[in-house]
Amino acid sequence: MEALRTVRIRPRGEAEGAFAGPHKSHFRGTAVEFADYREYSPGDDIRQVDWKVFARTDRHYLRLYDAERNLLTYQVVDKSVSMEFAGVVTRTASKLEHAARLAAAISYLVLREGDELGLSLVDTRLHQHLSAAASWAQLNRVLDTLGRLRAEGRTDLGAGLEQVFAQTKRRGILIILSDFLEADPRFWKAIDLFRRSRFDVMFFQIVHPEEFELPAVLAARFLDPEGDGVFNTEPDAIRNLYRRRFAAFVSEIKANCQARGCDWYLANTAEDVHGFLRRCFLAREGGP
Amino acid sequence: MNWPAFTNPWMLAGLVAVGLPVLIHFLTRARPQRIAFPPFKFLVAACAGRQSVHRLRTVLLLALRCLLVLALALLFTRPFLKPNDAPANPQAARRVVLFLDASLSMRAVHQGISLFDRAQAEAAGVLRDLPAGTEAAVILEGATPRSLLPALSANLPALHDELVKARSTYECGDPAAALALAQKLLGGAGTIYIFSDFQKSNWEGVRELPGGILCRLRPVVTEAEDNVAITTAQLIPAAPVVGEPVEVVCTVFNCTARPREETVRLELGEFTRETRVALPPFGSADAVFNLAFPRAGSFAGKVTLPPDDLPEDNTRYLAANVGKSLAVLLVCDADATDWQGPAFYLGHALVPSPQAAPGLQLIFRRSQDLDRGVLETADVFVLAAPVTLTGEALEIITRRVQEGARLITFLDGPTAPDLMIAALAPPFQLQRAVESGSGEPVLTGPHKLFQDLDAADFSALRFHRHLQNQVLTNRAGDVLLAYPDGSAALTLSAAGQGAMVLANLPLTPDGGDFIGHPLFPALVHELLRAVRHDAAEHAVTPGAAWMLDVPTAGDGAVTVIDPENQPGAVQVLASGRNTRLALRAAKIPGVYTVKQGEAVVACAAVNVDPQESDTRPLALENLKTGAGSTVTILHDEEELAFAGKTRPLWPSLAAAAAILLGLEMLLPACWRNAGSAPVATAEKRRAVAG
Repeated sequence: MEALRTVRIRPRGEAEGAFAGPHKSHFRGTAVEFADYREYSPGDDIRQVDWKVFARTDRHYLRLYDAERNLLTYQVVDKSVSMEFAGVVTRTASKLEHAARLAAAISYLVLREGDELGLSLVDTRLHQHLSAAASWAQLNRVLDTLGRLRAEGRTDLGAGLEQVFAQTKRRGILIILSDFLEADPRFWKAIDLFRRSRFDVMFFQIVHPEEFELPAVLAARFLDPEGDGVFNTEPDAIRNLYRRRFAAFVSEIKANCQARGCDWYLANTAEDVHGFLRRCFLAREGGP
Repeated sequence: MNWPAFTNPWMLAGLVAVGLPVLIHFLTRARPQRIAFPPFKFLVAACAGRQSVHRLRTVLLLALRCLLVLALALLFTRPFLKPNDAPANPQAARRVVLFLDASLSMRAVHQGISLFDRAQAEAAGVLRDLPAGTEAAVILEGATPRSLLPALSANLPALHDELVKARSTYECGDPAAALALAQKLLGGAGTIYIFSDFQKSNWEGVRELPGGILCRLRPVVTEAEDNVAITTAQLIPAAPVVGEPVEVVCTVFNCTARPREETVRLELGEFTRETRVALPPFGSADAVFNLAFPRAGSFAGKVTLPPDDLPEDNTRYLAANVGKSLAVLLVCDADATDWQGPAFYLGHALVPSPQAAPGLQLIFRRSQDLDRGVLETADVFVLAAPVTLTGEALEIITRRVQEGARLITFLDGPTAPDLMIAALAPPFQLQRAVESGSGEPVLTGPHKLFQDLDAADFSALRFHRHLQNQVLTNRAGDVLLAYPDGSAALTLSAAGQGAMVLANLPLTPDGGDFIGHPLFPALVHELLRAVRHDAAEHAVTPGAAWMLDVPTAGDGAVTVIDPENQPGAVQVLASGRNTRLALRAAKIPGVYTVKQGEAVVACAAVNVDPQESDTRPLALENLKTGAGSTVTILHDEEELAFAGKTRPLWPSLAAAAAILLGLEMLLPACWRNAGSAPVATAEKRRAVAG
């Protein structure tokens, strides 16, 4: 956690939380930043009347200040079976475990700033949803939920995100942790839905090293975890072709994200979670 | 070659090791690991169609390894091939004749080298490889076969020296004679190596290969060379006179499988002409040049085609000895001015005017006016019944015709049987006179007189009488015209060195309407032309001794200059008005000039034999094998080198093993580079991640 001490998650736009917080918002409030003057109307708080202006002009004006609100962060974790892969030769945490660790670390970062955090688990639908809250008790709930996470079901991120969108009240940051292997048009439509509502969307694409290179075994019987497909081969014979194909897929996801103004990060399960997050959020802030 | 034998046959047990790669493959084959792999769809998409290729590569690699082990196992057995034509008698292997075709067709150039040079080099190689103690001979096949040494000799170096000095000839080959000489030299047992192009036109005359002898046939070429040749060039008439229209007829032969068009060029005296001739595949066509010699004398020339792979037969030499005039002696007892008699019509038909018959000198004599001088100088005798010749006159005419003079005899009336000179072998026998009031037509016979005149022209003619006769067996080809009863009306036949026409046609107005017909003068002149036309080109070929009759004057020595301007050996056989010369076999084709003193008295052409121009090879399987003989065909130089020898196979096996080993190492490396690569580094992955 020491690595994340200086890391802050800030929205690219204005925060729209219900409570006061550290983030700039479009609301007027009682912060120290002067925003504007407004003529007094009956019922206004007379404590906001600028008496120096009254003395000069003999008219009542109110001093208006920016309001600072907290941030709403929604985390969506893909819990389909494809996230269960933990490698064959290069054993690491499974993609789901890695996603859970990332989600936990992000939860801590969010709640530490007093921002509100929600969590959704999806496979072919919204499986579990924790509404956004800003208490430490929420962190306990999140950790408890992530701790009980089990990979199951096929993937339909598009359907799951549509349901998540229906649960959101205000705009904020949407963080999706998935391998995006089934990123179909419906998924990208759901992303567009969030973007039109001015959500900041961050993609964390979880990839195991053996998904880049194929497992280093002499012969393999590959099974489709979300289907019935079987494919016998010697990985050495096809490694080059596969590697090109998978790299093209990753590039395609990245390009789609960038086209929609979303942030995209490739999370390798072999990498340290905290170092990775520090690097990601500092880069987002424009840091080193 | 037969099946291989092995020096170490017990090492064949090593062949069981061939199964070793298969065994190792199955024993070490990796058990596939079950992996639930999330990006499964990319795996399938990326590798679509690669699985079968991979499986094929695996099988290929396995086969390569098996073959490699097989080659190594066989290598240790030291296999070899035994010759299947080894002579049963060991002595036969030590008696060898190298038969080298030196005929004209071997001068053809194939892939930049003449066939003879190739055959000579191969024969020299065989000679060098013969084991010490072998007795050998080399026979050059030409018109007359020639052995380089008179008998089999164990002095192989000397024989080798003689062989490399040998040169091809311009002669027509006689393989049968050369084989007979080879058999004679071998004495019934031995080996003959035959280096030849096995030209069908020569070799189909060989009834069978010598018996009891091992024959190794080495065809130095397997396909017919592209060859176009002038096979004949004739002057018609053969002995023209000044001003007379002369045809030079050249036959061009196309020995290729495609139609061609060639330019034929004539250079004769001061004449130079060219013409194009279309040639069918493996067929002939004639090129005809018309000319008239302006003066008497000897003219030398040639007819040429553009050069090809066998240029020697693209030139045919011509020699024209042009006389001052043609003396035609018309003998008839009828009055030349009597328009009822044959002499009147014949005389007018032969010489209508001096311009119409240039060079023709007509001499008219009654039989009682004939003298020895006119009989000895006439070139053509025309006898028209009624005529009663003395025995001496008949004897002179007979001798002159046998020596080369021409005779035209018109048979009619009671004196006709006297004009049938038995010594000149007439083609029919006279039987009796036949009269027909309404007139008999004539039909064209098998021998055509006019090439472009159809039979209808003659069918208009009617003859009221003729002499019934019987054409002799095998002489039907001499008949030009015939009566419906089968009697010959007009014949043309050879008589000694001359030629004879017998016309069973009445030449009087009451005998038919022939003499009044416009066809009559044309027929007479065509007969005169035909009777002076040699049936065949008077061909002298290199390699054959020849004789020459030349008109000489006085006792001056006669010399013959060959085409290379070298005087040749001449023997005078007879002298007189003509001198008969015997000459040695000509070595090269060309025009040979006969001089008396410094004056050129005649010239003669020596030309290559047209048989050599047909370069199509014989199917060697069609050669009949003699009793007890073995025939082997050596298709290439390798077979020639190992003919009759034990051939070790280990070099080939070692090379095969090396190649297989190289492939076994090279192919997986290539496939690895093409289909796979080392696992990417973390840096590369980061680069992908951006």
